[in-house]
Amino acid sequence: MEFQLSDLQRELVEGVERYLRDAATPEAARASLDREPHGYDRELWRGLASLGVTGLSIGEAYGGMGLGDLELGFVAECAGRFLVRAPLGSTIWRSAAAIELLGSEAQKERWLTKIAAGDIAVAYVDVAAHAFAEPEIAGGRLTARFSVVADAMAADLFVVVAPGGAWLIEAEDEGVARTALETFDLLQPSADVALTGATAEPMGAAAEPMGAAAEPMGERDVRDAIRFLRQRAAVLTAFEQVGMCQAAIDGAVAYAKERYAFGRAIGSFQAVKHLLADMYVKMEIARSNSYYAGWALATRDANLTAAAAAAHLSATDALRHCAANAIQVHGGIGFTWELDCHLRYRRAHHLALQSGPARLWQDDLIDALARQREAA
Amino acid sequence: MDFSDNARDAAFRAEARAWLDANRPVELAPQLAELGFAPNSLRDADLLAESRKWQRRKADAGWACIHWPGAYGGRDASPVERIIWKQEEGIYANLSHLFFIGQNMCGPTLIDHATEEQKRRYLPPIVSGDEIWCQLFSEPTAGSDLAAVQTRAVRDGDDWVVNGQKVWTSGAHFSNFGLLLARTDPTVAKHQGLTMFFLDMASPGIDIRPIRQADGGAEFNEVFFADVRIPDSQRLGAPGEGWKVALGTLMNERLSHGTGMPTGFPELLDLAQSDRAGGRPIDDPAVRAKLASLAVRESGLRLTGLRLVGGLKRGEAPGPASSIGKLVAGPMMQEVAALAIEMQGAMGVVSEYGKAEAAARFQTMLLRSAATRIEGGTDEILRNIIAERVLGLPPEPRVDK
Repeated sequence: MEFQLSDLQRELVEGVERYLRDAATPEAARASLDREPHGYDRELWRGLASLGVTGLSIGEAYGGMGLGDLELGFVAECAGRFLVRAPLGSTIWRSAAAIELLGSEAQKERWLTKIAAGDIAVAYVDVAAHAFAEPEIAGGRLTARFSVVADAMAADLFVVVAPGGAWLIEAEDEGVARTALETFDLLQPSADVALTGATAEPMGAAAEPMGAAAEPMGERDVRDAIRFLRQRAAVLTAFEQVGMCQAAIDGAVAYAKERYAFGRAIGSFQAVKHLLADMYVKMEIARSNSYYAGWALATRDANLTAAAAAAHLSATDALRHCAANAIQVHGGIGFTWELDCHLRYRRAHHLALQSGPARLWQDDLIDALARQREAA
Repeated sequence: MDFSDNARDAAFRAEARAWLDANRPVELAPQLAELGFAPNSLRDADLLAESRKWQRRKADAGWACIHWPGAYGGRDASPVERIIWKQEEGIYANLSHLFFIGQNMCGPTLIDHATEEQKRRYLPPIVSGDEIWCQLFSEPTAGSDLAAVQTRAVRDGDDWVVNGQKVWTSGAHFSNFGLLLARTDPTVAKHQGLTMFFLDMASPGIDIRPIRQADGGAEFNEVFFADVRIPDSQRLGAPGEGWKVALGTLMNERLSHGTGMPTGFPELLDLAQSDRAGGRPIDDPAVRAKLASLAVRESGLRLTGLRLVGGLKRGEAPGPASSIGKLVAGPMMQEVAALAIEMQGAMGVVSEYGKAEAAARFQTMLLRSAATRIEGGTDEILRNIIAERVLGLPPEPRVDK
């Protein structure tokens, strides 16, 4: 057992941190928001690519670094500490892994190399979460309506996964129509996507089988893959949420030390101290759950289901708590547009939705724990 | 970051397991498994005698206080080995509670501040359970404000003469020695006038009276001192340095609490899966949501404990972050107990052993956990420690410093 980051993990995180400290400033995030409210900061994306972040867990054969999901988790935590207006969640936490898991050799070759190079953004559609009706697939053409797809306006490619199959759809296909949505998360925009006979290239099933199995991928495998991808995204998002908690706490602590009222720093009042202490406690509980889930993810441990659910539920709760109370510690100034508090408050509630309803995760967690308890 | 055993860990675990398989008192297992979370008696056996027997057996084989130096009866175990041992010892660790204060608070304080000769004299009997220690810190007017202690120690030749009163002293009635925080200089600021000692609890002038607690138990005592003499050689740290020594003691206490508090969650999960008049509680979505909220705290607490202990270097003292454990566990126990009792319906109010469900453990927990949030640092003091010593917030302006 080892409970410290390895030297490699620490150096990796420090490198990303150094870059983001300069590149992912509040000013840069706001400039990007003004420039392209429905897009992302492309310069930042290329910068992350040159550091290897976009290809961190992509195999070396496709231009990536071939590192594990735990390393990616630590990088996600680091990214959460800054205002990163880039499609990490849709492209890296989700789509890249989906292509790696479900795509054919040719598809991986074509798309993973582009993702690793930072050339494209990929939006991810889990049909169960984004579609009200079953998509129709006929003759390699897909017709469907997907609502609230993150990073969809600026995406170059869509990964669509459903129990019945998985497809790749290029954004410039004439069957693709996108409608930007006004949402409260200013760091990550969303759009509705309508597909009308869009050219859909099947992943996996029509190409090579998953792993070493000689059989084409069946429905069971796709279901398992989607479930795994959902857990993986939730775990990496939990790391990101923990990083955002840290940023919220750091900002609130700094302000509580410098803001004076009643003749003393407000951070010297127990009422304020206790708010901040509770934020710290929630963050640490979420961090421990997330680190364990990151390890379970990277090692494909049998406890992944419970671990991913615990990480997701505790990090979601911690971030909503920390983001709201960071505003509270700041007082009136915390409610101004100029401060970054609201950016995290907004994003906290978007991230809470992105991994699906809490009830499903609660069911996963309790069912898994009950099974473990019965087995013991 | 690796939560699984490496080859060395696995070998250690196998060794621990093999010894435990051959030596643990399996006949006590049913009683130990049904104990509440602050056990001070066994149904059909003498807890003190059984605890001593188990402790002695472990000590003889080198499995007691394993993270202590070998020279004092320990095993020089690494923090990770300490974690593994604890996982493997399981319910048999319930036989160590009576030694908790000696092994987790007084012992580490002796290791840091006693002379070599004293360490060789006093530490091995703590390891073997032959000598039990208590901690004489709190007073009627010095609880959270511990540095306000008024018990006086006055120098007289080679001795100090102690007068005053301590309170909330766990196990004083069966302890051989005590760690005493006393005021030696009332003329200086309060944190500067304190000194730490240890003393024989059989010293003339000590009067021990049990406190009847709100939950009906009597684990704690008042201890009165009337001209009790302590040799100066039993002073730990310099005169006036007592506060610093005490902080080290308390930090060790918090790490132990932070890593080892059973919250009752696994037993709650069992109860939730039982068939009841209204169906299984676990099938009720409202119950599931509450269980999930407790489950993530239970795992978060356990994993934070692993990170806190496992993250230490061999022999390194714990930091203020260890305050997190009891702060989460205390209120959680009250929630777990309340939810369990609610599941039991009208029967939930029955606390009689043999009639109450689950060996009355949730009723016991409900009543006892009110104290968990107070003893060893109140929730409020723990929040102050996190805010000031972890987050670096400025201290409250004070008139007493």
